[in-house]
Amino acid sequence: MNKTLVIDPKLCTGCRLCELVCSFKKTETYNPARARIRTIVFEDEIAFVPMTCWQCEEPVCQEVCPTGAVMRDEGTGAVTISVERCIGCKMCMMVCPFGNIQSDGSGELVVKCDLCGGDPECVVFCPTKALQYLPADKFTLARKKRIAGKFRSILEEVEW
Amino acid sequence: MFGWMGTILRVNLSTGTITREKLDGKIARDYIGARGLASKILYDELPSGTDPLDPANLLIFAAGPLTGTAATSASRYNVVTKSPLTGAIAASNSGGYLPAEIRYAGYDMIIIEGKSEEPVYLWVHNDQVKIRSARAMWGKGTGETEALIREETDDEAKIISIGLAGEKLVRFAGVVNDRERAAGRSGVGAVMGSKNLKAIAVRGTGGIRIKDVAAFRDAVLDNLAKIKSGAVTGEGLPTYGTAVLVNVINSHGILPTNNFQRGEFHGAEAISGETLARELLIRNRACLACPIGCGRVTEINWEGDEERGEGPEYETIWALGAACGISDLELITKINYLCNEYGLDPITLGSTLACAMELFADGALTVEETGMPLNFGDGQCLLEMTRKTALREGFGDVLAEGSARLAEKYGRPELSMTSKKQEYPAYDPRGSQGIGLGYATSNRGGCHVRGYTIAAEIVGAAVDPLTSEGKAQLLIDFQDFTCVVDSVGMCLFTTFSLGLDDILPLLKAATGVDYTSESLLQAGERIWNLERLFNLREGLGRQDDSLAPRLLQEPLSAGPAKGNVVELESMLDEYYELRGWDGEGRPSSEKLQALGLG
Amino acid sequence: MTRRAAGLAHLELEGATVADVLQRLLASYPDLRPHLLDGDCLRPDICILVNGRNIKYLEGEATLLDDADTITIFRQVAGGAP
Repeated sequence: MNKTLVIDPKLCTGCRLCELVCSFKKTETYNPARARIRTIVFEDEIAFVPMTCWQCEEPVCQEVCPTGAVMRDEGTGAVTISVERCIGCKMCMMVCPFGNIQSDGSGELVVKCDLCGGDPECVVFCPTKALQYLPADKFTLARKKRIAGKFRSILEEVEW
Repeated sequence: MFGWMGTILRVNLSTGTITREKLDGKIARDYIGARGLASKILYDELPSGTDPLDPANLLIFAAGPLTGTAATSASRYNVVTKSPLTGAIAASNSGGYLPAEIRYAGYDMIIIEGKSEEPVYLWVHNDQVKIRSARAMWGKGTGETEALIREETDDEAKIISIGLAGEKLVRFAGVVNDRERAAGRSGVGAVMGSKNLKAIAVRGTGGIRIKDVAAFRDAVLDNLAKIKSGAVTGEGLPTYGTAVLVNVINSHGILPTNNFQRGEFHGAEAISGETLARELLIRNRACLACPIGCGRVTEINWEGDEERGEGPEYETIWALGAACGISDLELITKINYLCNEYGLDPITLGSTLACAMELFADGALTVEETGMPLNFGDGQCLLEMTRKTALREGFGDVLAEGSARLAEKYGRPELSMTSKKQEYPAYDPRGSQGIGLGYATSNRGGCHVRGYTIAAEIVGAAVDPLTSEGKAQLLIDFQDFTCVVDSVGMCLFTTFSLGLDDILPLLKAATGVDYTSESLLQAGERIWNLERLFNLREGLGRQDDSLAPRLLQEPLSAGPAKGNVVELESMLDEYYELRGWDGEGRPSSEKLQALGLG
Repeated sequence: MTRRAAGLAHLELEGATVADVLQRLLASYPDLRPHLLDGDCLRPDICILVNGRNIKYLEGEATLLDDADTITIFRQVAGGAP
């Protein structure tokens, strides 16, 4: 069973450590502009949502790629881009419905999250567990349990 | 260079000249960065006796060699200048996102010289630097200023700005970045206002190079684990924020109440961190790379509208609360939001109001001067005076000068709770002797974050707060270490879990410089002594290493520290001796030689 | 922390020493035990004040109590604002 990068914005404090360690792993410099993950900051609400590739089951980036450079990694399930095959047309970037493929202007043609080969650096460092890397069924079960817990405590307080 | 970006951006607003200078490697090593390096530049370049609000004053925004890396809570920079409040050196610290952006743009620091004829802002986009008109932003609050500038520049720009208080040269105006973070103390915002510089917008897309990538990553992970497992950094601060101290400090009988007339506040529970968490807290917020996340996102219902913002922090709650006898947390939060908008230091604001309230109670001030009664416990008056102070309107024009000048003006200088004309924070030193010596010797005037001995005297209970024995050495250790922390660009709060030997591997791996524990701590001592030399050159000396007479002569009347005053003179003699300074507080030539300052 | 576990801010207890009072507190609120003790010893990150004085600088848990004494218990916390 493939694992999924699970994002819980409610736990995110906006520290952007994910961006920093992502850029460091990929470029050996600290440079959020080149990170494959971005924490979107909603200034008025003071809320934070980390955004990165969802590794779609039916990736439109793969469908649109004219050179077959977008491939799925069998081991991790990540959608990856072959540097050899990519010609830099940026079609994938343009069709991604989430804006999660980017051109970072660094010489690499386009970049996206590749789950670090199965050990995502952002998850290693995330201090609040807003980012987790879990088997998909475990994630849904954990959420079921959390909601069930709330349900239970409310039921106990209500008199029937 | 590794760690350091290696470039200083210098902008002269009088001439419009923009230059890039290479950072000197030896000076960088010796003074580390941020507070240390900027102090060195200020000391070397600023002629003594310069009026802080004169165009000749320098205003330096300086990040450290770890700022913007993944090192825990390495989000910070220092705003360094000569203070219009104290006449001493000012180094005011802030986090958020902006400080790191300066580094991603390619600079370790930005030095502002001169004065623009018209209101301007600086737009730094990597190596593209422009001075632009700020006519559209002048007179606006910091939040609106940020929004307007982002429209004109880049959606991703990070911004520093002053509010009305900075424009009006309020002596305790701060510089606000990322809307809710502030280099709040010592009036650095007034210096910015005096230069007609409304804001600096920065967008950087470059990277920080690290000498030893693997060692740096290991050191970050190691420190992260320590922060997460520490009682204060892993649980206390994340859960309750800084305001949890209200009840703790009040229990120790050292929560200064009604302008330090008492050490216990009956309304403490109502303004405590627990009450804040229950009534106002929406979520936690962290600065860049910070696993602690002490920031509090709060929401209040104000005159029928919901308002959201950050804070208040412990010091703010105290200054706008207990110091003025006020126990309305929602009102305190509202004024805190206003302080961010106006760009005002809430500590000095609250303490100045508290001083005015005591003057009023004593009859030294009357409604004729103030325009309205100033009574302890009157929140509406505090709210009104906050606005008037920021705008220098009516009696606010007097308050805008700070409590030392206020009390002097009305013939009762002893009622100003200040050292070197800067107001004290939220700990009555009569019940915590070390922090008393800290207030007196702080190079930037009354302050808790030059040497936070509270960590040992109260929080960690490692030493008895009521004794003065051993406090001189304790304080020196804190002061020198804090110089290091402030200069690398990390947050002081990490030091509840990290020591010098945790910062050392980060700095070595980042810069490739072969620092040792000894050489790093000595750099801290060098920085402290350099700041001291700056102040001595400005004419400050032993007579200024003092405390408000109340703390030296009036014993606390109740509570655990009842009967105590600060035993300053004996601690000060010991402090000078341990520092290698003479009886007037001047570093000996041997000491200067040893530190490379001779 | 302790306040949350007990759901109370203030309560009155009897005892000749701090240790006596702690014992009674834990008897009434056994859920507090892991928050206050590590085995049988006080956790190092727990501060206990008697009338605002840390018991470390009195007689520790053997500190004698008078009728109206106030005991304050809290986890190590910190604050301030740089």
